[in-house]
Amino acid sequence: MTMPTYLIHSLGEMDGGTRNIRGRTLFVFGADVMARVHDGFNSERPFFHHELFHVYHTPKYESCDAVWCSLWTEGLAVLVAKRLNPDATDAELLLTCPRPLRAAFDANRKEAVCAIQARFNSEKGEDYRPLFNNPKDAAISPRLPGRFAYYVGYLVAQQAEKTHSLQQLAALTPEQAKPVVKRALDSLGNCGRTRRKAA
Amino acid sequence: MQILRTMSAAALVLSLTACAADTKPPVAAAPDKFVNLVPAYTTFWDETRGLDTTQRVAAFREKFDPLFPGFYSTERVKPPQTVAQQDQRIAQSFETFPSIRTRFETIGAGFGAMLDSAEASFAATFPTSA
Repeated sequence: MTMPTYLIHSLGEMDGGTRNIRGRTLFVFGADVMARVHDGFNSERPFFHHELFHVYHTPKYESCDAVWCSLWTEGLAVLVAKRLNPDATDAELLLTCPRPLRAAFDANRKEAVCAIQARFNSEKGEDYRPLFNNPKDAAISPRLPGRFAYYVGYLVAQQAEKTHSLQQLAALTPEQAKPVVKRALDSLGNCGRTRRKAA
Repeated sequence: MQILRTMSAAALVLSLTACAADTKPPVAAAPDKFVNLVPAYTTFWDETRGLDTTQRVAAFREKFDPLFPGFYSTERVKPPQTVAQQDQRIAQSFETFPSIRTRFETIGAGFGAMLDSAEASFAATFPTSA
């Protein structure tokens, strides 16, 4: 194991991730949430690769708290999981919780991109949560499911991959990554200052 | 990890009974070892079925706090969450366990090998991670 690793009943807290417990960074996996949320998975490898990538990549981004940082780190983790497991389904990439994110994005592309662009530099939890969590009473809109930014981040990482290898993407510092993320997000949809002016 | 960073924490405790599956306290393992508390939870659940909820929650805290110091502790409870809510989550875990038990145990049995295998393939793509 790359770091101290605990497999536990997490009381519904998590399927996996790192936690700082009494000054130690630990790899923690919740077998209870894995059992519930990963039911039907053919393989846990994409999930493990996603989490392993965070362990590998996050140290460079520990002080990067803006929404764009999460968009990048999570999207890149999904991309890495997909590249290492080409047959992984959207479910195994955790892109179907709380409901299929791809379909929701495809049906509401502009709204999704604009919601993230509007919060791109925000470090507020209230901006982060509806994008990356599934708060029951704080959804941005009924059309955008909680966690939809994972799928948008995945698309952003795919855009960036057109000009960089996975290793190059993983090596980017926050300063190097930010313009890459901005360009990639803009390429997914135009929220249009022009349009706002016209209105 | 960021993935679930707003989710909160929970519970703990200590052993009431002799736990055949975990007579060697995992916490005593070297810090870089893998600690699997799945058998301990399963054994605990079986052995405490007769307790009322309050006693069972207290027993959970008593057993698991030393097994994973800090994780289930009240020190992880941050407002607006309360210790009472944490207790409730512990109690709820007992109620829902039967519905996940089979998969929970399967994950516990195969986890170490699965993660080792995933780490090996990950390191092949990102060699500096090894």
